Amino acid sequence: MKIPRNQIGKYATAYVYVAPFFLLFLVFGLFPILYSLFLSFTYWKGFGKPVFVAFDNYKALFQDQTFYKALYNTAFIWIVAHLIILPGGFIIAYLLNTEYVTRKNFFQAVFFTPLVTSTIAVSLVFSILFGEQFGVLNFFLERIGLQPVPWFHGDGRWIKPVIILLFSWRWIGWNMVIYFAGMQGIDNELYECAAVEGANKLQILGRITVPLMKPVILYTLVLSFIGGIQIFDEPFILTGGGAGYMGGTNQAGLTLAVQLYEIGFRTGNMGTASALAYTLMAIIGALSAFSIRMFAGQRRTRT
Amino acid sequence: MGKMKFLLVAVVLIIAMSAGAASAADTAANLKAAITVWAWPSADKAFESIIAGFNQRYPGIQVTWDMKAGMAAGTRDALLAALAAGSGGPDVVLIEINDIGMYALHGGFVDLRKPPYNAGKYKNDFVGYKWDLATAPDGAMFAFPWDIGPAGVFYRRDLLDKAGVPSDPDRLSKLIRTWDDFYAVGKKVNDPKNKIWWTDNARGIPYIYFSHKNFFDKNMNIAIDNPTTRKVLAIAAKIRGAGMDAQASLWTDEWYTMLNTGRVATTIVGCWFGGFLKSWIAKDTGGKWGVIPVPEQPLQNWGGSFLAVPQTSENPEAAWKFIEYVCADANAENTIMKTVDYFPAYKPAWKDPLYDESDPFFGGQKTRRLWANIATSQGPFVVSPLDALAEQAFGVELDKFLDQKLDVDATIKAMVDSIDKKTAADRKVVLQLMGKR
Repeated sequence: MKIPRNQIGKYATAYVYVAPFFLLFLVFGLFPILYSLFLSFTYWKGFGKPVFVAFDNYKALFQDQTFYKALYNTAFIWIVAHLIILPGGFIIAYLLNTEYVTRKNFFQAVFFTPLVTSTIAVSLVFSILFGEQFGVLNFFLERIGLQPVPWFHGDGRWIKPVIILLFSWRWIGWNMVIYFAGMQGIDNELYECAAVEGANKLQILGRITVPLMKPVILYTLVLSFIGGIQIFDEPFILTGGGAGYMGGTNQAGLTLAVQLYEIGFRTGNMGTASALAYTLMAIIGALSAFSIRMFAGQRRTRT
Repeated sequence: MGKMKFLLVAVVLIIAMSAGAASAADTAANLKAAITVWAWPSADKAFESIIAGFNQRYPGIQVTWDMKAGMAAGTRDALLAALAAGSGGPDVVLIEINDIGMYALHGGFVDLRKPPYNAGKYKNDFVGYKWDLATAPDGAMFAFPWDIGPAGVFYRRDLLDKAGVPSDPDRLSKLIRTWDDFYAVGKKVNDPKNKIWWTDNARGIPYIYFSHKNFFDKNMNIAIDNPTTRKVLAIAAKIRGAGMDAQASLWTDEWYTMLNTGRVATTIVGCWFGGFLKSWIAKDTGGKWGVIPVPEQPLQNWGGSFLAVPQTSENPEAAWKFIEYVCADANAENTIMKTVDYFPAYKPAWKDPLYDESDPFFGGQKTRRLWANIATSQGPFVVSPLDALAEQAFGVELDKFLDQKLDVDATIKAMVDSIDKKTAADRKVVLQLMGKR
């Protein structure tokens, strides 16, 4: 699209007004994005001249079993966690939106609190809950005559569930708030109308609430694709500790974002880290495009 | 007590001052500069304790320090960003041993061998392996050794007494000379029914043998496929199999609790851990601890740090004077040790009577002399810039080996493969740099 010269002159003041954002974006957004694309084709330790190595970084990455492990872990954690978070958030929002619940603000705050709690405090609480010899959960398991669970040892099978639990606990409130806002936006007349027509609660939910919430659901889904693939805090807190490597036993908790951090900052190989970052971006882009297309297509057939 | 300590420090400082005056040939004494140091706690306390002495010798150099959030990792991340940006960095930066190899390949630091710094003259005054770690493959001295972490087996005297095992360190170290001895003594102390274990985690044994060292030979070939590796893996598996370790994850609340309440009888760590126990992990366990050298191979180290001058510094000479004072002045070093327990890599500091004092927290044991002896004992200690990288790959396979009871030979093969893949790109660069030496 070409803007005629005189138009630029005409809107000069407006361009000046929007310039700060674009200048900042150019310097702090676009430049790093493009520069890391360049870096992904180089060997660079973070200082001096990057050495061009063509596709070596990508090759090394795709030949490394760790990458596939991290990819699998990320996908697994993402899918299971979102099967909890999205429907869970929706159900909580729906319940809060009914007339049965009073003190809506209080419950909203309760569900939202985990998200704004310091990760350090959270990690402390979780380490007390999931301690292996003296943890709270194992204490109760032993009390009722069961074997204590080696949360972070064995073959690492418990690591993902613990991460998923922490992740869901933190993010369910966020999605709940968005759904709740969306539900508040639905015209009450529609519900009244349906009630007059004799529709039951389930029919109202299925025929009115869910269809009208579709754009909101799409929004949370796209955000989840981006956020879920970048999952970092929870595995980092739970498995980044004493062993000297990330991800815990068998690297069962190693996600792509944690691997990115490990390559970039623990080993200083900015080139390989950039290659991983771009791989990650490609995955997120593809998934976002897919989900947008899926929903857009559906809407077209309906109307 | 606080007043006494202050007086003591003051006396030491006065001595330091007069010593400084004696070697007044220092033309740099009238250097004028303001320098910034990036580090993490408790280095601030260390600097506070010696800054008066430093300013007596160099009144024109004004030092400020900036303690970074996130400890060593936070300092590293901030420095990497500053170096990549090419400005905004400090004049002096504290580097942890886990990051030193990465920086050896990174570049961007002043080579302290060159004039006017001439750091090379100190070579024989420093612990050998520590000096090697601060030297890049091309021979450049990109960092300067500060403190070391000679490692040993920390043990609980009370648990040994209860089991009828001699808890005196001299007698115990004669009793535990080999890993088989370690296992046999452990059998007597171990009591998992009552939640008392011989050691915190069996992985500590193979881990300490490869802590910052011995992954590669001098020509950068992977060197872990040997009888020693087999032996330490086998003994760790034997201890795990016999239910003699608590399988504790280090640096968790649970681990601190176990150490504090006497649930684990031994843990293998660096000397700085004594300070951790005294100050926050197990304050009230004074007199219950002892230390013996690691069986079979006493030369072990875990932790320690370096100071370096980024090339972006505008006052590298003043920065060097500060580093020199902090790291290579016996009085300053010993003041720091009394304040924050950083064990100096600078050997002349060890002549002080301080090193023959007995430590009541360790039941009167002369722990400092023990650490000095460990740091200068004989043993294989080959360092490379890729040790930290190799350590990650090694750690992954080590935990798989113990947690899933895998085969020793298959594990060593997996370790070699994984280290090879992880370090391939960097190894080429190290070899190139070694060619320039």
